[in-house]
Amino acid sequence: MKVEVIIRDKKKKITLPDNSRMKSLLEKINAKEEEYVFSRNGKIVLSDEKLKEGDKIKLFPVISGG
Amino acid sequence: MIKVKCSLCNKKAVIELKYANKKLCEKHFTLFYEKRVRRTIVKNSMLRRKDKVAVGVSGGKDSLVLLYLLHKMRYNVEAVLIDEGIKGYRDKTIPYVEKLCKELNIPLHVFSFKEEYGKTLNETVKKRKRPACSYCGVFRRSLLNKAARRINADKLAIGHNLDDETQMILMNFTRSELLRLARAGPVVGIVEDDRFVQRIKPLRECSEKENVLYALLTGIKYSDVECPYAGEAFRSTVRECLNMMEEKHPGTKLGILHSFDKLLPILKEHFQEVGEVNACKVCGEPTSGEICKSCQMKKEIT
Repeated sequence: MKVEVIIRDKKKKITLPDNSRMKSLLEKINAKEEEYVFSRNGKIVLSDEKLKEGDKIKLFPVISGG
Repeated sequence: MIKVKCSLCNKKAVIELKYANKKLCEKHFTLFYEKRVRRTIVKNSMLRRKDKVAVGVSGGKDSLVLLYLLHKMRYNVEAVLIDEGIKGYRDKTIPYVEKLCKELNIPLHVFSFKEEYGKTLNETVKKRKRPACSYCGVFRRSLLNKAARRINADKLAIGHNLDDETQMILMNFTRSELLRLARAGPVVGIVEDDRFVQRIKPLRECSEKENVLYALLTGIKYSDVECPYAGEAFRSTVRECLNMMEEKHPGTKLGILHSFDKLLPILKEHFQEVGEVNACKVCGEPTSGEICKSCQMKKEIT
């Protein structure tokens, strides 16, 4: 399945095995769980969340740079 | 689909607070977060109801959450913003501050390096002898104090979070800068001297992640543009180290902060600073020596 990932206005499509969870997506894109808050289709979710084809995932970076 | 439930109700959890052994939904996290900030303010006697509070804002999540929350708690707040003149950074964060201030009807005061020191940070670093953050830190702190005084504020609230605080503690501890530690803490500044506006840190027990979540849940729009000068190598190492420890041993950061708070009275007593606070011979601002750090640096860059 494919999901859309948005980090700081940059979008990319990521392919994952069906029934993957948010955790697998984070691993795939090499993002540390503690460094992001994430939403699935506009709702904040935990890393246990199961993802579906076409989901829009937004990652909000936690570390501020300034 | 299995949903992870809030520890306090049947709703879906949006955050896991391992250190508190809790998973919380939107509503219960918001209540938990606000209660903790209120407790930090009360526990450290940070504010009195009659106080006028200058809130140092940057446009980032921490300072805007702080502004929003103190306003929600019905404190008399005004926002102060320091424009360092960092092209591509500060000009992008200012609109977020303006937007929130307008929405909440909070006065906003902007003070710039250019006006105060004659140069923007971009211009300063062209002639620099030190890292940009050294100049910026000193100028910012000094200007924030002046700004708070100019608007007749009783307190200056800044958005330092749990991560900032524990990084500062560990960095100073590692470098054996105990005098700096003795000058830190939840409330900073000399009460007896009118030239100092006491600085308070109401978010010091809230992690960066909790601040981001609170901002998202309450609809606060903030800038996450990175400062081009950010990235002190030692701080990054300390941050990584603390994050790793927190992950493996939840509660590490709060433990460090609370241990520091317990040690603080001892440190303050040990480092009791002798002598009076002088007026800087150049600008008149308070200083422990003859010329304040800010004027010394200003001289370096002219």
